[in-house]
Amino acid sequence: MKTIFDLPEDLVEDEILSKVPMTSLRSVRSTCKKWNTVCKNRILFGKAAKRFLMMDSCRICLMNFNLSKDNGGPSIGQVSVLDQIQISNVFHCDGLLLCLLMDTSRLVVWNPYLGQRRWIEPRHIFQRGDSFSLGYDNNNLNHKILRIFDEIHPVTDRNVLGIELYDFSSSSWKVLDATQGWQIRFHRPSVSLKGNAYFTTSVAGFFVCFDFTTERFGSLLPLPCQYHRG
Amino acid sequence: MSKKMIVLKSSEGVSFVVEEAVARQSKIISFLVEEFPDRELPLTNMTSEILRKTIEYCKKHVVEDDGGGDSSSSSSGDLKEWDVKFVAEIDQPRLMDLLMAANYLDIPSLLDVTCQKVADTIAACNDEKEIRATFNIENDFTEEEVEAIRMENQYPI
Repeated sequence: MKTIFDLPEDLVEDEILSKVPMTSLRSVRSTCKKWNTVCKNRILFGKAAKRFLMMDSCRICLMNFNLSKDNGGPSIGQVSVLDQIQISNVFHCDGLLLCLLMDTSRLVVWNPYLGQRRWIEPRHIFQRGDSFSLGYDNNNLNHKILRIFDEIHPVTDRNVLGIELYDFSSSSWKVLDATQGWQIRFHRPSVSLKGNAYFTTSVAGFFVCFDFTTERFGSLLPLPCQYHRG
Repeated sequence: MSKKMIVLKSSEGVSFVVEEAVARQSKIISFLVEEFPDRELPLTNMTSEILRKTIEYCKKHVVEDDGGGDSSSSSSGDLKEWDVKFVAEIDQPRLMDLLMAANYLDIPSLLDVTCQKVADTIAACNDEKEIRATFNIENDFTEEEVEAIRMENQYPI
């Protein structure tokens, strides 16, 4: 009686495992060491590895490179799961894309790897100048979204900083204490690294980290090189 | 006009008389009948049961050329439905044998449906334990290694 391990290896790799949807990737990789290696190769060297994402006038496009062709030129196609959406801004973290809609009505988080998306509604409203960062709790890998925005203080009537955090596991927003984050220049793009977000600050030569595990800004960190304001 | 027939012989020595057009869906047989016309073709690594199944598939998929242009025997929608039913009725060990036969005889469409069926079976499993149980695969991971893969593949969506 034949089993799947009696089949030629290239048949299992090229004809069977390549047909299993990416959503089953975790189970397939955890099945046995051989399949884990096959899946890793598929991620690194498969079709998906030759794709790039680009933004072209409010639309997200997928760019395919076929390097085996003579001209090696890219073919560009709009991402079908996002084709009805006009996007004003894109933020990314660990392969996930967070897009703010042109009409600022809501956010969409897209996982290009699994082809899935999730809509996120605002607590009240989003605004065009809002800054968003994606990150995750390093203990349980629960993802979160940080929103930093300008708001009018109800008493002093002055512009102040507002900070909110969205939790993917509870699907809800909560307001964070903004007094720590007053120095950050949130209209500049932040950089995401290992689940945390880094911002430049109003203090020349220093940047600051938002830790998604503790849900707080850290202390000012010196930049390694000369910092030019402007 | 009588159709040209060829003879395929299974590993048990059972002969199957098949229309040449049916058998020619296998690229290997197509090559062999040109090289060795009028000869019985022994398929020593294929049981009668699997050979019968393979012929059943090829019969359904042969494009009948009776001079009327592209009058294939079934519409492509019907054919797809038939394929799904065809592989659904086969148990797993036989499915593996049929997949091997499709690979050996080089019948691309049969290879595709059998591989798709195996892929669908994998995708239908809830977790790695179910995949291992379904395909009789030994777990060569430690718990820590499985946990590490789980962490690498954790996405919020």
